Amino acid sequence: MASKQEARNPFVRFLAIALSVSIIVVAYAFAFDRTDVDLEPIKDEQRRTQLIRIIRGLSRPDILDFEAIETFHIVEVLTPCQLGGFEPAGVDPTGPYIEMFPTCALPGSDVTVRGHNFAPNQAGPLSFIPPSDVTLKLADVRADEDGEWEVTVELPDRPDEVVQHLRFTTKERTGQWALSDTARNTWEKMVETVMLAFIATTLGTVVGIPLSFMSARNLMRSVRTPLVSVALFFIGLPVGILAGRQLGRWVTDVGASVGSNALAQLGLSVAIGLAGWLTLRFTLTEDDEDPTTTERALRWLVVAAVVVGSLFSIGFFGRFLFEVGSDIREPLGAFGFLGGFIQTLGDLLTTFLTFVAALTTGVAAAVLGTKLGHFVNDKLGKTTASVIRMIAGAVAVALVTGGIGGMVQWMYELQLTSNARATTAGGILLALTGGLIAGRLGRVWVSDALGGFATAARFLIGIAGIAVGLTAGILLGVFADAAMGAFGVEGTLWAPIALGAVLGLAGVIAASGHDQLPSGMATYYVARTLFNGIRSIEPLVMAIVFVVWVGIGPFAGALALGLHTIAGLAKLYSEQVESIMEGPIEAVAATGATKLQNIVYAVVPQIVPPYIAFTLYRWDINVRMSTIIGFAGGGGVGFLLQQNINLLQYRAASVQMLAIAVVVATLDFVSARIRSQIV
Amino acid sequence: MLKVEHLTKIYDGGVLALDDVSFEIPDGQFLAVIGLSGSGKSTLLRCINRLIEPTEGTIIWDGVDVTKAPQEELRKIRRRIGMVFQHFNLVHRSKVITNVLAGRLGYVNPALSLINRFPAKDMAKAIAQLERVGLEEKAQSRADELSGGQQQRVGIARAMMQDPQMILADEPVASLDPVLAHGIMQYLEDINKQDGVSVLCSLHFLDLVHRYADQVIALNDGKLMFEGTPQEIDDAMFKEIYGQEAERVG
Repeated sequence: MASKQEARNPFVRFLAIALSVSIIVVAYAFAFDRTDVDLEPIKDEQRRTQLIRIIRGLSRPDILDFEAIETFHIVEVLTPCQLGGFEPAGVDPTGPYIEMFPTCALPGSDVTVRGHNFAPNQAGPLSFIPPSDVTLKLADVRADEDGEWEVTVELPDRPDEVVQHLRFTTKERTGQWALSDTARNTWEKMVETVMLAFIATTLGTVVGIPLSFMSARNLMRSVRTPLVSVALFFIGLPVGILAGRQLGRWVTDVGASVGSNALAQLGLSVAIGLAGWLTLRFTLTEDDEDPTTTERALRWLVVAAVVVGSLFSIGFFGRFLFEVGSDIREPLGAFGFLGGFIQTLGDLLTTFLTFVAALTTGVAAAVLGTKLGHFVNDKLGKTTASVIRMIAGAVAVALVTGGIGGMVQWMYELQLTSNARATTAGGILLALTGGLIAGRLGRVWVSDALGGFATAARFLIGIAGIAVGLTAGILLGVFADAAMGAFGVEGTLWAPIALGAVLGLAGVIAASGHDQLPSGMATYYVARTLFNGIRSIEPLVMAIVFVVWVGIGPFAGALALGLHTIAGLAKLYSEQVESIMEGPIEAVAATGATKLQNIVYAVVPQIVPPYIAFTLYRWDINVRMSTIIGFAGGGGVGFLLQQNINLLQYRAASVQMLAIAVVVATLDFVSARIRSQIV
Repeated sequence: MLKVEHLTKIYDGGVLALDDVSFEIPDGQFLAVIGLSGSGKSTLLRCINRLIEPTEGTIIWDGVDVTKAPQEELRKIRRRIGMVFQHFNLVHRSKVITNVLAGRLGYVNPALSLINRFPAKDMAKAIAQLERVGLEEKAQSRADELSGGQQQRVGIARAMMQDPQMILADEPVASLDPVLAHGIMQYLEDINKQDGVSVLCSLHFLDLVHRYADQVIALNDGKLMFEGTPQEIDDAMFKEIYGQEAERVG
């Protein structure tokens, strides 16, 4: 075998190496230029002193302080001199005092300052006080054994006609060491920060866990759903959400009609809850070998009734909590925050009741739609099934395009006949379809043997598919809009709906009857895209949005960080799910378990330790991130930090930085302990 | 009766794992599947309960076409087919008893099983199955505290929880040392002879085949090379199954 090495001419090799080296050099040169690498400021003396001041400030956190009396020793100064000379007034030579030679001087000239009759070794700063009353520090001085000191300083360049002052400040320690004000404020804000991060992390964990399963490739890959089920899912979801919203409003109205009697609310809540629980207890048995269809339907009805009942129960309970919380707030005194918590909890339950009802009903209806789809496919005759399939497909896609059209309308406040709605809907839909088809074709057309080129070729084919789909969709949208206009229908959403119906029908006809759509991977990509989108929005920006919505303060920060945490944790979690052992999943699937049972029995036990570790890590991240959030009015220690840095109070800023470091280290330690317990 | 006809599996990358495989097993038979690594034994077993979707062919079991069964029906078929794995596939962090109870998941109420509630008779059954494999005192231990042989016995108990009519055993003893191997094989034999459960077991060692199997099929490169009794495997057949360089031990 002729080796490649031999075939290569040494001169060619040299050229290749020289070329790569010069490319690297050029790349670095360009990078230096773009990043403004400039060493001049580093050498500047003044910048160096400033840097040293900051470092010294930061390294002396203002944590402890002793109670002390500050005494000012002042001498009048005139700069520049005026006609007739100047005699400073009010110097009492019997006690400690300071004097300046000469008594007046030009701004910027050197003067000698002397102190007399101080305690031995007494020290303090010597400052210049212009009429604006700011403090310009000139020097730190220390008296000798006899209580005398002398220093030569340069008068600042602050010419003024009126008398200005030099001030020597001494501190007389009187009491014990104690936490400084800064430390106390920081402690308070740090508690706020940790709690803010805690709420954000809780929110992220609760929402992130279910999402993480949907965005784990290994769980979703095998999920395929018949076309008709997918269509019925998309029909069931909005119908369910609308119905659930109506239900939630009804429940809220009934709850309000009972009035503010806490006991009545509690009684109703408990009674309904108990009735529901008993009903479930006697209708659901663990032993459930082969229920008939009627039994199943009945059972679903019972469960639905219990869910509606429990909504009422929750509604009443929320009102009860609200009333009780506000009543016990006062009597509890220092523990009033518990009452406040109960009240907020009640408020939360009643406020989100409609939302939860809508969501639950929406999901339930969507799942029911999926089941109905399976039934249609498996049990009904061919003709009936295909008719249902076509209707469902057309309606579902019409709903989707109508939804997209509505969203475009809402976001961009389009007026009148703009065909943007139909074109956007058609464009998005067909671009996705085009991309999917091109992806499939790319895999068939391009041979794996091409190696790296195969990936590139498939990518190009995919892009081409998206482009063709997009163009076709936009053209169809324009056409649909024009066609609807010709028929005299000018409604906002009719064009995208009609377009969707036609596309849906075409899609169903194009797909063969029993096609199983890769719904799992579709969910995976949608969830991933969503996470990437949310994660790339800086929490700082989210904080600004939430500050507008809920006002300045830690609540806005908690919501902003919470949203970011959902996306961040869902990604981390799902990657953890992707790396678990496949064996148990396979084994549990082989027992005839459902997908959900499989997750609970084979997936969850494997991911508990990493989930806990990630959650604690995220808490730690949130504590650190909350400093940035504080900059935008999101509450927490960041606000103090930003303030102190802006005021050049580095010793105070240092306290806040130290506090953050301590909390982060503590969380790390706690996390390590918990992990060693759980693994 | 399991009837496999023209079963073909081509993986996504174009690898032909099973090539037109057909055979039959009457109820109650112990069938060994032999062949080199990569010959398609695991794929074959997993196609039978559709953990892997076959590309072509039919699998008729008890008069029902498994390959055409919709999702719900497939779950009902799967719950009557127990499966035992080379790497045991227990959930390490769960208790032994939970792992065994998982075998009932296809039978119990799905909603209540999510909060870990099983009928009392299933709990009793789980203990009884653990007693059968001699591990009743390990019920509350975590699965990963058990040795390999013990884990495989738990795996068998889990499969038996399904009240199976057939057990698919994918190299059940390949990760165990030879002494333990006979122990595990004897449990399978016991289940086959006492309970009348058909067993489809892929094996590496011919001596195990001779000792336990009623019938043998051999795969080479996805093709069915041989179907018959263990005694019928002569030296010529052996070379055809395992390749010319293979050497017969024992």
